[in-house]
Amino acid sequence: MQINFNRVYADYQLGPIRSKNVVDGISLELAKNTFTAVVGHTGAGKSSLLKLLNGLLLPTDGEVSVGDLTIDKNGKKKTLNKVRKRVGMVFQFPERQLFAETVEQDIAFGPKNFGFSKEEITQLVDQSLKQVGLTPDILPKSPFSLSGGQKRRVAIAGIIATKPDVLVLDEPGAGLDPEGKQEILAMLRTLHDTHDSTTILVTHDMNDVVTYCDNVLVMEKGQVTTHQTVRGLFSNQNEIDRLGIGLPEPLRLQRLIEEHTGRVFPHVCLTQQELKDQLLEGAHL
Amino acid sequence: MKSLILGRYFPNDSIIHRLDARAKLVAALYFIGLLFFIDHGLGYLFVGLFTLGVMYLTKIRLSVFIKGVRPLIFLILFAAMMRVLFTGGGEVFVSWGPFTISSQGLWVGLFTFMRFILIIFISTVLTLSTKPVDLTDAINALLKPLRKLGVPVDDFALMLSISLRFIPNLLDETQRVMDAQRARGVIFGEGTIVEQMKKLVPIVLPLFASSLNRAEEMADVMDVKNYQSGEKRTHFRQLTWHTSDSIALLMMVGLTAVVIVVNYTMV
Ligand SMILES: Nc1ncnc2c1ncn2[C@@H]1O[C@H](COP(=O)(O)OP(=O)(O)OP(=O)(O)O)[C@@H](O)[C@H]1O
Ligand SMILES: [Mg+2]
Repeated sequence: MQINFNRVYADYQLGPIRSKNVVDGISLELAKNTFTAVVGHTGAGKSSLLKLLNGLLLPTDGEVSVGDLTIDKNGKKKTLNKVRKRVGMVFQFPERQLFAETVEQDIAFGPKNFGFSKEEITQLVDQSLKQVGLTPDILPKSPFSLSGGQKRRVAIAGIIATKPDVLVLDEPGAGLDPEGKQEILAMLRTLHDTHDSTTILVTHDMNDVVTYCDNVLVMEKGQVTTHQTVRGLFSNQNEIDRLGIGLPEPLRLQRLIEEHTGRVFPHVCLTQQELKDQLLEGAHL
Repeated sequence: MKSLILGRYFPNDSIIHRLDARAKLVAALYFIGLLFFIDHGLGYLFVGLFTLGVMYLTKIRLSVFIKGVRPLIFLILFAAMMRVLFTGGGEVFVSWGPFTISSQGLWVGLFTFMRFILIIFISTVLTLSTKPVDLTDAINALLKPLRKLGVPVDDFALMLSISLRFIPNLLDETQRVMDAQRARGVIFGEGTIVEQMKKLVPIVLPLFASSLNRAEEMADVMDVKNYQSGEKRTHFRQLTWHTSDSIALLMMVGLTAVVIVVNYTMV
């Protein structure tokens, strides 16, 4: 599903305090079936950008469109409900939203709200449970009795069970052990590839960006400073310096080697595999 | 949620913000007490104007205060209505069984309404302009005499300051959980009362869970830091009394004089 931002502004108001524009005139276009990373320093407005996508934060000016639905500052209830069905949103620390008596009921909560039938729901629960890598014996347990990683998976299952066309995730790996994080991200990538969904992932880790994402969107002070392919961005060292973003580990190593040997690699290596191949190739010379 | 401002602190630089917390607390409590002794419209007009003046001095927009009253307005109207219906005297306009609408009743209803609004306004001024920690210190200072009677004043103040400290967190957390459940298709503020009550479960349970967790962590941390109740301790922050604080209290005395004069001369 295609997503468009047309000169979107947004802020938060709390009593007398009105924050300045946390989203400051953003225009952008996310094509169908893309997997986009959103990176940027803390407070850059990444989470706010995601909230605009399903009307949890309404623009003060401009429009956000998801497919043929458009959200503007009036945010009609009917549109918002449709948009929320379309856009599945996994918040930061999504396990904080778990509440039901059993895991099964919790995963079924979203589909039930969005009006799926009983048979569909049973099937969706089973399917999404498998997708997040859990086994059915967890279904009758209380979500509060699970480990942190299991809770996270149940919470994500509760979102993907609603069959969203667009999946947005706010740092889904935060606070997990490295292995658990990789498993969840790999699972999201597989899900993306098999369901032709559009995925947007907020992350602080450049290694995740190069491993799992096609495109990258850098934010700074409520604005998008660049939006391009991952390889395009990391091939351009000047751009990286200008944006002040970090390097993925393999590329950092490549730059170190280049500095020490004076030999410049023919292209950037974004993954361990690429770096290894490049080094082996160099060894033959 | 956004309109719930009673109990929130908004940092700002104003005369009212700079007043000593003890002066503000005493003055606010005294003012609320005074409201119950006014029995003439002119008296209400006067304290009403005084309240507006104080609100103006906080440099916070009037609309903010009005929004703060809005969630409670039906409760207030209900209370005022009851007073109208159950008070007789003066000219009687409508009479129906035990209920009457009389001139006296209308006045009493209006006074009740005014009293509630002014209490909310003045408490909002107090919490809006005073850091919760300062407020707790003020309560601690004012309760000090009770310590002689063996009341654990310090523990009480600590409990209060911890609770106050977590009100904003709880509000933020509520907002977050509501957002998360909205994203899962919950539509708040729609459906029958029973349906709406049911929708509270997915908010309240996660909040309970996180609050209990936090309380447990808090207790552990206090144990680890060897907190002992009933120990004598000194204060890191010191409240300081200025001339403006004395003036604030003198104004309360002045207000009392006006109320007394109005009550006795206008009959
Ligand atoms: N509920 C809120 N009320 C008021 N201001 C907010 C709220 N949420 C965020 N902000 C402000 O909006 C700005 C952008 O916040 P946002 O959460 O979108 O940043 P972020 O890029 O997601 O940061 P992080 O990487 O730390 O998650 C910040 O300056 C923040 O203070
Ligand atoms: Mg964020």
